[in-house]
Amino acid sequence: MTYGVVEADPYPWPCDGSFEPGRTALVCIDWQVDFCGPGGYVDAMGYDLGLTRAGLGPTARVLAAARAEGWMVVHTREGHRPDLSDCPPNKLWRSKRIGAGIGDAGPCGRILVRGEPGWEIVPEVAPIAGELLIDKPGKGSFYATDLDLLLRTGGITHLVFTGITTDVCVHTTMRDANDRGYECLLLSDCTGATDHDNYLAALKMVTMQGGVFGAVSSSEALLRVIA
Amino acid sequence: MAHVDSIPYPWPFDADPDSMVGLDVARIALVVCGAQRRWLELSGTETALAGIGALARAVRSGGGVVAFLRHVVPVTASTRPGWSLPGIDDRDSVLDVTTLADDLVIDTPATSGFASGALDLALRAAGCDRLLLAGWASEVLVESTLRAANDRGYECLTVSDALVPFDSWTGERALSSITMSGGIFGAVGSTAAVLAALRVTAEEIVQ
Repeated sequence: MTYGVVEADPYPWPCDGSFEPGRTALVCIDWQVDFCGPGGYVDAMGYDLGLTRAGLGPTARVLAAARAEGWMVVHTREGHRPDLSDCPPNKLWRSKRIGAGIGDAGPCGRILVRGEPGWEIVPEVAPIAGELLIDKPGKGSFYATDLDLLLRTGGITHLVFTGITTDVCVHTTMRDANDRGYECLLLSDCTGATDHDNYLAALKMVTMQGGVFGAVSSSEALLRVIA
Repeated sequence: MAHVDSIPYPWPFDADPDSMVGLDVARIALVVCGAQRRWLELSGTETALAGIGALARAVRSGGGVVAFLRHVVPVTASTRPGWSLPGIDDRDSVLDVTTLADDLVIDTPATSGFASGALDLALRAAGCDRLLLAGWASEVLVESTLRAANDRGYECLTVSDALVPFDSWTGERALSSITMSGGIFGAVGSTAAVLAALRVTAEEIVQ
């Protein structure tokens, strides 16, 4: 089976004219309590959770469709080892300076630490058996992980992105995926940022120069083609 | 001054404000992204060039490293409509005005300067763990390189007036993203603020 192109900006996606379920992965970035749940890291920093939670509903619909179509589904989680030995000292220092120290105790356990309640993916878009989980110490999902190896071994050439936050972990991962040769689509209503203008700017940056990092579409435009 | 007056915190993070010993310039690398003739027509280039030249001289004189990244069009992007720029050599020379023989010149086939291992290896070999980011264009090459550097633990300062954006609004938002969450990709400061810190440091080294 082959899908036709998705109505997207700045070009109908993908650039090679069609895509296949067996070569496409849905990548869900950091839908963790720490970034969109009450008592998590983003909440502790005082940002509006409504902005980071906005994409949960559309993402759940895309997730259901991708599962029904047999796509590879990847979930990423940002978090550190309990002894913080994989946390760069400047990252740790910056978090403590604003009162949301990585490794410090919070309402959802130790902030950004693997295995803690705040590190878990929220129930609305939680992984199911057989889906890939990528634990990453940084913003990008390729650095210090086996994501590239898993995608290549799985024959994946096309990536569809959901997740948070748009301008940080989603953008870093999408830039890296694009640099590695994957054809990338970001779903505009399946992502959000701690600042609305930075969300809008991050979407626009993808579309600059004829699609320097890939393309942007709505989840509805994708679902029209695949579901 | 033993630190750069920057936002959202004085850079680098581990500077001691009470110390009489200034910044160790030998640990600093100025990373100039997209230093190619093809971008010279972008608005703001003249100011950025002046800043980059001054920063490069200060970093070199303190024993730091200056690295120029040349962007070769990525294989994937070149297949997309609108990307190619006919008549321009993508491996064109680094800007002569700011390059010296001892500077690093690294080609990258991607938007991130860290996509191949060459930059990371060269910086580690030189003992540089603090980076000043500058160049063309803010939202693309500079941002991708900054993000990769930050994940690798480099302490980064993006020099706001030594950058050239493709678009003034996205360029401004790109700087805003850096400073969110207490400096999620490090700090942002001006050329003048960096020079003020580096000059005092150079004098201290002489003493």
